[in-house]
Amino acid sequence: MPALFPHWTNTLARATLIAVLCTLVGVPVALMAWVRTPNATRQYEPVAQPVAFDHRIHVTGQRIDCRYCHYSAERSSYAGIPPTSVCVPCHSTAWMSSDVLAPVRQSVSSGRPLRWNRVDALPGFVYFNHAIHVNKGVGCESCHGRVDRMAQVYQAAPLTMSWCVNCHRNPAPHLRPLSAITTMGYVSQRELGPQLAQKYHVRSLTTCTTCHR
Amino acid sequence: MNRACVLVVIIVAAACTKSSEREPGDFERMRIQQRDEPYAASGRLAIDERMRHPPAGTMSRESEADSGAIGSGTSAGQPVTQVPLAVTPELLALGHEKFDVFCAVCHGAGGFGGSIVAANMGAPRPPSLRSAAVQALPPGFVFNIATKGIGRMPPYAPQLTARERWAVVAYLEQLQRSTSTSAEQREDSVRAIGIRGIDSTLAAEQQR
Repeated sequence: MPALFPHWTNTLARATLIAVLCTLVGVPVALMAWVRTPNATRQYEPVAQPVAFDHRIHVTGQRIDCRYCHYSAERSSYAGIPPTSVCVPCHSTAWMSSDVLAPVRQSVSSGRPLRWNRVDALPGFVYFNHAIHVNKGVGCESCHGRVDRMAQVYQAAPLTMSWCVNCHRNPAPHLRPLSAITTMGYVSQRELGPQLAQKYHVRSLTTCTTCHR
Repeated sequence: MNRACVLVVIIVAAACTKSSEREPGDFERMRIQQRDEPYAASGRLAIDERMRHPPAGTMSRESEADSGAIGSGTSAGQPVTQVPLAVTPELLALGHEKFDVFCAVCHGAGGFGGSIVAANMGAPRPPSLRSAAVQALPPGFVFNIATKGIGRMPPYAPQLTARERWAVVAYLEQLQRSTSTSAEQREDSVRAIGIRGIDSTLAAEQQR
């Protein structure tokens, strides 16, 4: 009696097994790699805003400290979006009649806040606190990048959990003196990190409840 | 058998919602949670903000606004003539930090009334804090200017607590007494260290 299947079906069976295994492993691996790419994390993607606010003009040009506008960064879990009343005193003469500032004028007359679009959005299950980072020597630049060079602000860091944990495991190299907390283009000094960690009582916090509640 | 089928259908159907009731990000229900974020907009209330304003005519228990000389800067209706807090090196350091962030923007790091913002502002320009007229002002008066603003200067009570404003007043007094007028202080600068950072990177980039 001749064989029910021809000889090449052996190869087909083996190839099928390998293909199934590759798919079972490869598809999850590819998806896990994908969510870490800037395409998925929206890193480097400028976010359109209602007012064409240019951080370059205000930070590099006018030399205004980050905390002049984001003044709650040092004492609140949120860095804060400045109310329109912070824009107005300077802009009551400078550029106030320009089209760029039309939404600001509207906000002043209506009393309704400007609706800025969120740039660095963390998932709802992450409880990030600005104040503790800023008061312990993590500079604005460390997470937000060179905002002084951004015409339109984009998310500078991947904001993935591995990125957070990387610093949480060994914070010392990422620390800077509190006097340079808002400095852009800070050149970190290798030997200073451990000293600052000791001075500011910075510990490596990697328990789940540090960030997740 | 039929009853069992009906039971299964009822149980399965109980998990259904109308597609219109589902939020678009329903696949990400952990990522986008049903809680109010500060600064978020709200479609539900007459006012757009999720953060609520205190009702008119009320103040928070933590508010220092009316709590004696420290909160009001006045005593028996007159501006106090001395900083009502112990002027320690810590207080002066705090005042220095806050002065550089909030005051130096217009008045300059040395308080001479020169800065980039001031130059672009147009008249009336922010005054020098080192002039004899300003030096003659009692600390309580300066504190109240920082609290309520004056002329084009906005109030800084939202940005600075009463203690921080007193720290700024104490630092300003120290600044007014200092005779050193180094180039760095005279410079139309906001924050010497930050500027050095920016300038050095700018120089490095130009060299490249």
